[in-house]
Amino acid sequence: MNIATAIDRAVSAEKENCYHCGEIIPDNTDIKIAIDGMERHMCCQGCRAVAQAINEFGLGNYYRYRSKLPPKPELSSPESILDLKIYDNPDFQKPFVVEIGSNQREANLIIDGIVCPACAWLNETHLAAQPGITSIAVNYTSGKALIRWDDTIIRLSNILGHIYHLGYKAFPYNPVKRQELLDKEKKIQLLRLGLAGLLSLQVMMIAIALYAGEWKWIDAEHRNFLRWVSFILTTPVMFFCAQPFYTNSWRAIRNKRIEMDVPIALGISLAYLASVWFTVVGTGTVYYDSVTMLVFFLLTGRYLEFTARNKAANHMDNLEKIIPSVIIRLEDSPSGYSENPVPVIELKKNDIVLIKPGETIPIDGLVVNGNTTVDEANITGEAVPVIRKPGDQICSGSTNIDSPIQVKVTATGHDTSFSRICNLIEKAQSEKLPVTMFVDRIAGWFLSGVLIIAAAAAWYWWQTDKDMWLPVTIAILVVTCPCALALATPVSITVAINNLLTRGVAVIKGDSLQTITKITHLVFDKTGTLTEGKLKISRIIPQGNRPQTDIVSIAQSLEAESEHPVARAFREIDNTNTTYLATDIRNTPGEGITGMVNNKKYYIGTSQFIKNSLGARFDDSRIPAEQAEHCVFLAGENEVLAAFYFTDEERPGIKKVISHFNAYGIRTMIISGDNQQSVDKLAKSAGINEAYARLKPADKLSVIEGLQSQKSIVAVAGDGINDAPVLAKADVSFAMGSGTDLTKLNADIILLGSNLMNIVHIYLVANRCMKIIKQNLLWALAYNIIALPAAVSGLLTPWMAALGMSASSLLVIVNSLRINKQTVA
Amino acid sequence: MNIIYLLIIISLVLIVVIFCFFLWAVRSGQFDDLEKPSHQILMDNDDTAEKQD
Repeated sequence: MNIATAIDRAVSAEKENCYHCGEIIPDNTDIKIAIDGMERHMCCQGCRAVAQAINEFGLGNYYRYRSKLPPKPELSSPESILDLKIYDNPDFQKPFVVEIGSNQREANLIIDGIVCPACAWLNETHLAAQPGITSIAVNYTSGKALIRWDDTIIRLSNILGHIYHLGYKAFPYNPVKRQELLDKEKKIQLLRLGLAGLLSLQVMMIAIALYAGEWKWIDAEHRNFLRWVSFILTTPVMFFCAQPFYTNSWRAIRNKRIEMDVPIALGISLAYLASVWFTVVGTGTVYYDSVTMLVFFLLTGRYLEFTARNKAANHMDNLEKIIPSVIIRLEDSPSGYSENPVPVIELKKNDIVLIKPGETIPIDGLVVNGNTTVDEANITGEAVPVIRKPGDQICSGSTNIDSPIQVKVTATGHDTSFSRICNLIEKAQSEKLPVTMFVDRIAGWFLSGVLIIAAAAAWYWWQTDKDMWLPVTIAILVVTCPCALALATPVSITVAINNLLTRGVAVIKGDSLQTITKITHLVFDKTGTLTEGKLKISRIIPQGNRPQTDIVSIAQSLEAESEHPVARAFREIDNTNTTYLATDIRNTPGEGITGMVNNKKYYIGTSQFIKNSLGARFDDSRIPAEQAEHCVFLAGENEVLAAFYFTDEERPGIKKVISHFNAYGIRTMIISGDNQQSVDKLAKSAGINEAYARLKPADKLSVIEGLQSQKSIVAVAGDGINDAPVLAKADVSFAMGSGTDLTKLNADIILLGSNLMNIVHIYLVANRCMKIIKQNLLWALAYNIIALPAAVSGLLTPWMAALGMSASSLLVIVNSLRINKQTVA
Repeated sequence: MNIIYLLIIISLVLIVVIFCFFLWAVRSGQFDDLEKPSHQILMDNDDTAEKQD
């Protein structure tokens, strides 16, 4: 039974899990449709729509062959499909659509949500069946699609719409030049590797004949012929496959540095030239086999490393799409102004745009209306959000937090600070671990030492035994090649990062893997991290005699623009009453919102917030303290209108996660803005060591700082807007995948799924990774200490040296692959 | 033993042919996505073709 059917059974066996996304079906939900003759239960209308679409298009096999569950789809509303229309705008298409022939267009898309090969198949099969689409290729590894269509039959917006209907999101993707170069580089590396493999096999075969011939007896004529054939076979390896070693060493020498490629280039050149000379004169020994084998193994190691890195880089590339490509422009119209979604690329200087809370700002500009706080950590590195009033500068790449603002555009496109963010992402990729930098420094000294020893040994053997100097020198250069040393860390790190990626964990900062192994405290935020973060309104108690529908409408209008979990809960209430438009909205993070609805001022927020706003007119003595915390109040100028009660489901498996960390001797903590009672209850049931309740964002920050001042290494797992500064302050930060764009960018590691056990997995993988790096370094050291004297003393022949060094490198790579070993998590 | 001359030359020709084939495979993107095609055989079915009409 393969994984796919295993998941299928797990999903269908438990009725309470959604057949499409696998999430738990809420109690009061009963949505079912028939797929392949079986009745299947769904958790929400979004899943139902997607499952129905998949089924109707005859793609039900997707459910049979998928090996991972898809993300929960959002119900695609008619507006969101309408928004896609701008993708048909020729100006907007310019950066990513290529015209090929009459009406034929080609574009690259990133398809968000591709988690298993079945997803790729689903998209591909469905789109290929649409009239007008000439070709489509979905790459599962990178999540990208190359698509060609006939613009007279189907528009780009229709194509994107089809993908939305399947429950995926598609973004046009402008293949960055860097990516194109990487793809080209990959092909050349593959060619080099393949050719070296092919030829080294042939050379080895002939070499065995030659060794056998030396041992028994071989015709001089046959021997010379075999040597000439080896020469022909080795020459392409020397001049094509091994080329990177020469260019790298040349670059290193020009910069007056010594890298691991220098002795390799020297060693193989020396071995090759000597072999050619002996082939021509018909005496001595040839080293063709050593040359080809060495090049082949080295290229194998590098290719593995290159593809692993490429995969990680690809993932990072997809992060760039968080900069929205559509923005709301305010345009003058007869009735004041109208909100029009337009492509960012169309914006000009002095346009006024509306930026909602939680949105990433794609332009540089000046605030003209509205007060808010903005997170600029991406540009300035300043973790604490800054306040922005009318007249203040706003820079692209920052994220709006509190309230909607209107911004006058001052710079667009390449003139903005966005290019600086790109640099940031690139920096994260090339970041080196402290241990890597240490090894790099040692390797430089080590290599200089090897070159000096080789020269000295050559001189010594030249004096004593002229036949020996050449093989000894080649053996030294080849055997001590510090590949094991140089491969030890990068291979382990890339294996670890990829292992985590397949688990749905994106490591944004590579050095966090080293820090995790040292953590002493693991701090959880409660809402959205230990709980689902999906608040549900369980009870509405009107306090006056206004109709409930009216109250709900007012509350919804106030919360309409907020990204807070509470606001989302309000949006989920079904309300048939007319919707109101709230103006002058002001958000006090963690407390509440005020705004004008129908020319009256309303407050919505915690009991403390209402008390502060209404003063004595709000009597909270009637509300039990415990209840007050689970509750949001709506109030007018003079009286409280209603109380809304919330529940938030705990994530499954908290207890298991905590018991793991307790076993590792790491103190676990909760920091939460929630009330003492509910935090204590959760802490007790899960076995969490310490619990801090009623914390404001600033208090959370000081808790972390307090721990750090006692030399503790603190990891924080969080979610939600209020956590961003705390995550930035932590030594290592985890963000849950459902968090906003903002937290995603600030965290060191992102959990793309909702499985908390992944935190345990990260900890285990990081620990194993560091352990294996240590083993690798130790091995490399021990190997060189033994091999170097053996080569100097003439005990090693060049072919033994090549074998030893290849075996040593392979051992390091194979050892690194052990990081992938199954874990408990 | 002189057959070895012929055999080795034939093997050289074969290597050239194999390399040309490999070159074509790399250039035409046969190695671009190594995971999806292995699942492809399980998934392709005739239902889609029917629905298309």
